[in-house]
Amino acid sequence: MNRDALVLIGSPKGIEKSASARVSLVLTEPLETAGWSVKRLWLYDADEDELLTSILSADLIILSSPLYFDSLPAPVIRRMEVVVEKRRRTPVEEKAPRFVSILNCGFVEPKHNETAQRICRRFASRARFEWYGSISLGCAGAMRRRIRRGLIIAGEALSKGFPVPPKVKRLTKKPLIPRLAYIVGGNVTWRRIAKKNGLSKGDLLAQPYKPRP
Amino acid sequence: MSRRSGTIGRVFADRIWQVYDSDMADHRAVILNGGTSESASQADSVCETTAGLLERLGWGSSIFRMRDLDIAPCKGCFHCWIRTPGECIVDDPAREIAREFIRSDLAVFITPIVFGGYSHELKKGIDRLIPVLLPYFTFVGNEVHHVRRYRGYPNLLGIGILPARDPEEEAIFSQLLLRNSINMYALGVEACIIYAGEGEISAKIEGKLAEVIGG
Repeated sequence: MNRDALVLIGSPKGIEKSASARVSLVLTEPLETAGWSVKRLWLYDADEDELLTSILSADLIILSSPLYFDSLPAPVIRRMEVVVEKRRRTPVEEKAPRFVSILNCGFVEPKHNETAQRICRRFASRARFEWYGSISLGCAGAMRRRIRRGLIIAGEALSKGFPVPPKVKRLTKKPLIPRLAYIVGGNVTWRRIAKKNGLSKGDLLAQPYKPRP
Repeated sequence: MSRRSGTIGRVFADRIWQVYDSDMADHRAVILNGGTSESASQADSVCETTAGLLERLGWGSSIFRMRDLDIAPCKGCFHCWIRTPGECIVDDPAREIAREFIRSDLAVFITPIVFGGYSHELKKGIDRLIPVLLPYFTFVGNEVHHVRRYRGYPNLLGIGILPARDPEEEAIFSQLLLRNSINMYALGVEACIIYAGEGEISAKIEGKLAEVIGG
């Protein structure tokens, strides 16, 4: 059985180095093992025709994107708008492609992705894709055993034609580390990076814009 | 917030953004018109109505018609936090939007509702507002968020345009604004839905404005 999966990467950091790409690689491992062919496109520079052709020939579409202000990055929304507009003009297929969204946010709690996941689901419906589930990750998509396991379980289910199982949500919904530890560790890390750039703690707090009185 | 009336507005139509009597008013609003080429006429009409209502209330407004602005997408480089704190390294109109955002008492987001969220035209400006926050994390309520960089932030009014009633997209739009208000430290937030072909939109927007600015 030769099946096609299309992975759409929605990170400005690209198809190689971004967390969104890394996360999607773990998910698609079981698909490739099961004989699926996996094509990856970077939504920031994907040719519109290629994107639409790839979507038409895909059995499964996976969107992997970071969260920007509770939603998807602007260029990703732009592509979604184009896809829906084009799909509106194409005849309804007998079998709609399946659609899965994986979102990662820079906060420790994966639940920050909830609004954007609802947007993705609405997009899938408008684009006449079959909704096959979502995966929300915190800590900027940091990979730990529990997360990796969840992604592999999801990939295995998708490779067999099933949606993302509820077990995946149970594995991924809990913050990876205690929240206070994330706050303290994160803040120390930001200061360390700033210091490397020659900035003091005070410099980081700069207010270049004149606030309202 | 108090109201002040009697301010006369001036429009600089030849500029990429418009300023209504910006420096004289007690209160200021920044209006981001996120109408796309397909939804331009209705978004512009909503924008004009909103600016007019604010002017009548004595507010100064800065209006950005997003589809006319060449704004680069956020690169996610975080240089606005750790290299040039508080300002994006990319010098384009998004900097001016961030500056006006911080100067304002109210931010108005006008957009066709796209899958429940904002249009890409509006979102390209919002994505670039990240420098108005600090990189640091803190608890806000029971969640982890970024720490505020400034003492005050504008209240938010989202005006979403839909072709017809759509309870699911309206609910997502309201949820998105509420979530944005937490991340952007807005003390007040309101969502206003306008349907295509709706005749009298002024009263509806005026009601929402009164709620969000406490008039």
